[in-house]
Amino acid sequence: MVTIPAAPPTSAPTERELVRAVLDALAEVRGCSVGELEEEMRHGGGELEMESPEAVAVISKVEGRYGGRRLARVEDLEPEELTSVGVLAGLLHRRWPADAQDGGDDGEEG
Amino acid sequence: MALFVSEQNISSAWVGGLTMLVEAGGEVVNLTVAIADPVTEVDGVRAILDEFVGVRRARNRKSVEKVSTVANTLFPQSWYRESLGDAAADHLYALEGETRHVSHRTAKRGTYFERLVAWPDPEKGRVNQLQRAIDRLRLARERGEERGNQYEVGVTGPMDDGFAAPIVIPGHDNLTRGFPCLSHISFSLHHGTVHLTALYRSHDYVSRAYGNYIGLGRVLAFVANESGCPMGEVTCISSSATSEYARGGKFGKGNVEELLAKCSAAVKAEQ
Repeated sequence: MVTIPAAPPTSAPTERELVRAVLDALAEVRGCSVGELEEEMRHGGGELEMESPEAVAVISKVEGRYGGRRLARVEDLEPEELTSVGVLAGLLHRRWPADAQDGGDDGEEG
Repeated sequence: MALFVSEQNISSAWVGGLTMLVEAGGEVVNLTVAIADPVTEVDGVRAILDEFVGVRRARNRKSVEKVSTVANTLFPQSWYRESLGDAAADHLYALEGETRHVSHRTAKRGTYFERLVAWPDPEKGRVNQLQRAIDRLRLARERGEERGNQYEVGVTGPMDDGFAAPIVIPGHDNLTRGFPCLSHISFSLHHGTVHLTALYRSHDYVSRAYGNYIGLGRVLAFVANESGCPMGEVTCISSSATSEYARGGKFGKGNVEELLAKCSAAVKAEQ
């Protein structure tokens, strides 16, 4: 289970720390242990694929872990950007520490 | 004139619907598609559609959504962890609530799944329509009731005694196109089996219908699993449907016909 810091970290996390944060959050989303995910990652050559709804839930949890900072922009939420633990951690790392701006896109469904 | 398709799985049903649409000139009213097994696909058809969509998304990601994205807006299957047992549904609902503020960055008017499990009632707050349908179906099953369509109700808002799940929010959803195209979902209990009927006011058949059928099948499978009722069929009524090449549609007639030919061949190869 995730250990939430008492106060949100103020310094920029390393990419490795973000991989850990993503794994912690993904374990919550999947209702499993971090150890199970790490085992899967080892079998997957150091990478672990995710479904895009899982990634969106992970983003929500990671943003909460870092004090509610908005880390993902609208264009980051396309499924092509949300494919794995490593890809997502890299994306969130690139977005840090700039406050992402809302692109104003009005997505539609039908 | 209404058209009716009745097929065994999602892929053959979608191909049947598109065939009728193209034969009718690309636009029809009251296209009704019944899918006997709404959680089964022909693998080849999805692969062909993914390729069709992928080519266009590579040029412009806003041009069309992936099939999986369309399905996930109705039911994000990866959030439903059946391994959690009795806690699985609550886990699913909690993820929707926690994630809503991120989802709204791309879908400012919300998602279908949000409307199903957190419908914004001005007086009661958020209403979980799916859970209410599940509770009523479970109760009906425990009482030995085999029919539940006497509970069917209107469409303007969630009703206390119904199996229906409206999507449209009166006074809020005023656009003539775009979200929400899906207006209403209802569940019927017949011979102890739960069936789903969905009503779309308009349906972009090439870019949306296949993912919609997958999503509706997932919704029905979830409701059936949680209520303990066997899963029946999905019937989807498109009040207006287009193959998206008539009147300035975005795909071109030749492209749609080529897509249909490939998918028809994949379905036939499977039979």
